[in-house]
Amino acid sequence: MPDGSLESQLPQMLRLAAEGDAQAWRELVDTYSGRVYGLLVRQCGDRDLAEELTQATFVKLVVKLRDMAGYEERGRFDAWLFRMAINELRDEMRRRKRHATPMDMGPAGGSRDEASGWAGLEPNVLTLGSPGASGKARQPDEEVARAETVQQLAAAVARLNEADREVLHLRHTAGLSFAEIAETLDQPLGTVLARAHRALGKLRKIMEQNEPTEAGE
Amino acid sequence: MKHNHDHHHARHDAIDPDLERLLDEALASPRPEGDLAGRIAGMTESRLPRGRRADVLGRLGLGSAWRAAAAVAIVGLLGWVAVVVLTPDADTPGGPGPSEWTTLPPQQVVLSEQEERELLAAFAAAEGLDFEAFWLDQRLALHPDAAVAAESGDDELWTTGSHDPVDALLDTFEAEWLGDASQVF
Repeated sequence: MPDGSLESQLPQMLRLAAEGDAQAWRELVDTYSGRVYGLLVRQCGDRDLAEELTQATFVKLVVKLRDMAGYEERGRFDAWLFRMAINELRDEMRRRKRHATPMDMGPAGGSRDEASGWAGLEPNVLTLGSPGASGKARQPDEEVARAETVQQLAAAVARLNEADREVLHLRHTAGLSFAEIAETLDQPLGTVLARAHRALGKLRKIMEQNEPTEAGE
Repeated sequence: MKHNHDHHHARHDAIDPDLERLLDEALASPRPEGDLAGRIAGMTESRLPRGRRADVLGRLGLGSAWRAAAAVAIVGLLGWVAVVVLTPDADTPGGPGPSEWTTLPPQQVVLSEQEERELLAAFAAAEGLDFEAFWLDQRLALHPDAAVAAESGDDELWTTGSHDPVDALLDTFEAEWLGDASQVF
């Protein structure tokens, strides 16, 4: 959910879209297409395929809207939508009979435009336990160090197995809560939490292994 | 992509808030090239449920008028179908035959005296009878006074006397001819 106000607007937006309101439909697409696309790019590592699958997901959604005239949103739309997107991807993978290579584009990867988001963030908190320096203006060297850390973290995610990556992408790219991830993947919440906990542990371990070398730079 | 992080759920369920915050940054949603949302909306709008058309008409102020006109047209069409199409023509094959006539609602036939006479004359002719002779014979046979009246030219007696022969003739006539005659009148 982009923000609280959208959360309150979503039920009406869905209702209007289900009734055929083009403006509501455009708002819905505008709100979710970027997140769906981002998740699919992270998962398949192919921007063109991700766009194609994003379109397919929304085509499926608009068709399903016909049966949603009486739909009442109860906080499950996100999980439903992202499950459709993941299913589109899995179907496509099956069709192509090949495995996608995760892209995990970090700030130094293909999405250079994300660099604008690095400024103003906290200093390196990978030392864990550090509350960071939120609100403080960081020094240029701090920004560089943080950018490197973020890049290393993205690379570390790419070393995880597919199931762990999927949870992290749903969490940090699609922006779902653990409860929504559990619903999206049709798995118990405890299973998702355990997997996420293990994935973070693996990342921490990978980053700690890299730290001496990186710290020396 | 900063906006992507801002919309993430509050990390009340975070396992490791600091690491997760960094992951938000590291795994931020890649930005689509161009106007992906616009492209998707453009290619999917035509598939929106049909209610959209009604909304468009409504926004143009034509919704209720369109519905009213459609209702009138439908009622008119149904009426036309019921009257013209579904009502068989008696003169065409498949039209109402004798058995169907009995199921038709009774028709009130009001004949003038002249019309009655003409129909009776036609009936008598069809029966091979000389109507006037038949008429007179019946009257004379059943009503001797009528013969006197006829000979005397007493029209009052003629008209006020017993009409049983005429009634009998009319009964026969009605039973056998009236249905057909009702189609004529």
